[in-house]
Amino acid sequence: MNNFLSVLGGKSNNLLVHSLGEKKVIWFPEINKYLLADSLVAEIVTALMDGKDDHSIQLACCDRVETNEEQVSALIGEVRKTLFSLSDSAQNGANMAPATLSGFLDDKEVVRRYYRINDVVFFVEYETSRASEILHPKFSLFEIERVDEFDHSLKVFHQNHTFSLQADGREIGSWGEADDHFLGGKFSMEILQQLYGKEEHEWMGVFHASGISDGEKCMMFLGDSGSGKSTLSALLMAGGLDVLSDDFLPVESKRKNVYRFPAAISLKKGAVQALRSMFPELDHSAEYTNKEANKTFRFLSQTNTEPGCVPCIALVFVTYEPNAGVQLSRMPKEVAFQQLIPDSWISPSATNVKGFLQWFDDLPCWKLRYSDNDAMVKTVKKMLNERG
Amino acid sequence: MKNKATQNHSERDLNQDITRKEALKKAGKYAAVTAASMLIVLSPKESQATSPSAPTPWPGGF
Repeated sequence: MNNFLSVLGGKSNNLLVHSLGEKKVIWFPEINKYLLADSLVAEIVTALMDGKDDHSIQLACCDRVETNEEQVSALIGEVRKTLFSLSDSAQNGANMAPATLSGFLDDKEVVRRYYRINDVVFFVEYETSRASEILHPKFSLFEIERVDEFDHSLKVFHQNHTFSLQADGREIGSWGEADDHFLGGKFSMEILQQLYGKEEHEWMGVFHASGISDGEKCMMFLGDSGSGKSTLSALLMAGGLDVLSDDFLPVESKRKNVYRFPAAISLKKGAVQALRSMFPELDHSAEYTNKEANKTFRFLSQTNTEPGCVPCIALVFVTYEPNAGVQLSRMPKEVAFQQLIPDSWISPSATNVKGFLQWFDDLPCWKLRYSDNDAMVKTVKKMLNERG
Repeated sequence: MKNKATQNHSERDLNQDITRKEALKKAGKYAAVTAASMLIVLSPKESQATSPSAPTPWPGGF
């Protein structure tokens, strides 16, 4: 009857429950999913996970709030349905296993590049030019001539419409061509780990965000692709602030500091036009096109690429909106949480999730709409000054 | 008579106010119970990711 229990991790004390304002967040470790609910619903979840029968749950609920048994019964039914669907999704959500590959199919096609990033030398072999085109542009500024000695080697296989990544001989993962953003993520993660000498579990999370710092602290800017996040990063860099990372923003688990990831900022054609006067080097940088999306890109290096980290003082959800000027408003935590989670990798260990929930709880969340670049830069500088 | 009518009217208003307050109070409690839609499942990314881009070189470019 309660066959979702074993899939979801058995008793409720295996779950992680955290208060977020008037809501509760429940994390299911076995399936790495979060549930955001009001407190009554959260109580029903934990009661069901503990195997309590409907009647005792009904009695507890009716005792707590003024309602009738029918309503509570319907609610329990809905919660149970959600738990069943959660356990189903866990069983169906298997990842592609890393492919075991003996070697490259055609050695003549292999693109070999060397990169020196903060004194760490990487030797990367891309099996196809397409694999190179996906990963290389963001690191092209670090490319060096061939060297005899290197610290780490990465192999990017591209066989049967599948990408596979090996790092220092270890099989990291395999992804279909449509999932090349996960290849990019793991490739970046391998570089990050070697740059800072930290293993994957030592990172609390990696956020799809820009980290903007004044040298002592930073704010994290989040937004969907097309929200103007990269343009904002470049504008703030032109305004004298430090871009820690534009797209792949790691937070370490112990001190919760945000670390620099020195990949270049990817700018679409419209942004390049707008930023040309501030960054003349864009005129000479290589242009790439995404044929499917019919969009062209250029890549802008961060002003500062030295390793480093600073604490985060706020999360800012940003959108470019014509005629908005600059509008800044507080964002309710539960709304911010719903936007943050689906776009983030949170290390799926209980310690890291607990740390993440507390870190998120402590940070103010803002919504920033902008169309006036100068006013936006001033606003961000003021926020960094005032919240520090 | 007029005064009495006014008084009755005020009492009725008072009663209505109390009833309204009670109704709101009850509605608040019921709102908690009927808020099953406030059960939101959120899935983080299974693995680290970058923005999807898949750029290929511009003809004559890089």
